[in-house]
Amino acid sequence: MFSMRKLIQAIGASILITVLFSFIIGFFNIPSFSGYIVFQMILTYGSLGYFSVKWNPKTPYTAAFLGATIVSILSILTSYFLLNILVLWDPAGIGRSMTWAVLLTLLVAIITVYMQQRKVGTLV
Amino acid sequence: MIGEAFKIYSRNWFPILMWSFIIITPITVFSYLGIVYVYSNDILHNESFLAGWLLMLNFILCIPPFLKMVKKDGMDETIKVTEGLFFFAKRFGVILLVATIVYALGLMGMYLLFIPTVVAILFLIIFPFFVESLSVWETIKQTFRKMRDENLSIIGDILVIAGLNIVLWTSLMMFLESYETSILAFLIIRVTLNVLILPVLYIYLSLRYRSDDFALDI
Repeated sequence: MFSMRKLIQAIGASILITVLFSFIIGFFNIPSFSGYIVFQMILTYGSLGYFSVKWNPKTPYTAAFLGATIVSILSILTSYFLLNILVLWDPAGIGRSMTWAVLLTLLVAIITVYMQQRKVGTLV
Repeated sequence: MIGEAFKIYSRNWFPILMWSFIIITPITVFSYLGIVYVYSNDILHNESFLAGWLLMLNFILCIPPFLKMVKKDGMDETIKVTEGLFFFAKRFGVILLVATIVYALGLMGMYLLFIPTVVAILFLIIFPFFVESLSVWETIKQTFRKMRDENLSIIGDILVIAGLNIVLWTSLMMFLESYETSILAFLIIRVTLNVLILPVLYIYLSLRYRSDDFALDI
């Protein structure tokens, strides 16, 4: 059974983890800016995939896909309206970022489901 | 009711102290620095709405552990620190998303004679005290039922919160009058103020809105 509350819970936990770890990383001077962004992206969407499997065990892939879409749309809207980065003028960039988000989340969800089944011992 | 709130405060002082350091202080720092950023930015032209959003989030994001503490205290149990932290992390998303959507709706409703704005403010004050139920729809339904039951007296609560903040903020500003001020000094005073008054306010408001569900005799 798909649960909306658990989906929102996973989104909130992944945002919280991103804020926390980005604050900690900010103390170290990382020379490469794109490396910082890639690390942040792996952190956000990886934790989102993990939590959607953990809290929505019946429908993990639906939860992961919806969560990745919602989080990427939220980040696009935030960077456009709050930080004034003109991302909405670049449709190809939006498509690329959403594709990467969904791919990464689904990949982590598949790996987590695989690990769970392996731990239980019901891998066919 | 206020005496009961202080009794609960003194019974659970250790979790409240830890949550003040782990939850209230970082959220206040982020919100205050966000307000400073928003006002120092030249490009944005809706600074006041964003600053209001950050202030509102600063008040309502830290509510869930205190709500759970009051609930457990009504059943004569003590709460652990980590329990409240996990509860905060689990209810972070629903409060953030629902509060943002309702705040945006309230802003858009300013063209309709401010009526949706007042309803949105009442909703935002009450809604975080009902988040521990299992579905989002149930939370919203209970909130509207509570709003219908005590419609205008919620405005009195908002006045109490705003009055306490203004009085304490003004009196703490007296210390800084003769010194050279900076962002850090304002930040430290803001954090001190929030750590002082927010737990008492949360306990008082959860007693006020949820006392019939928590089996407390007040």
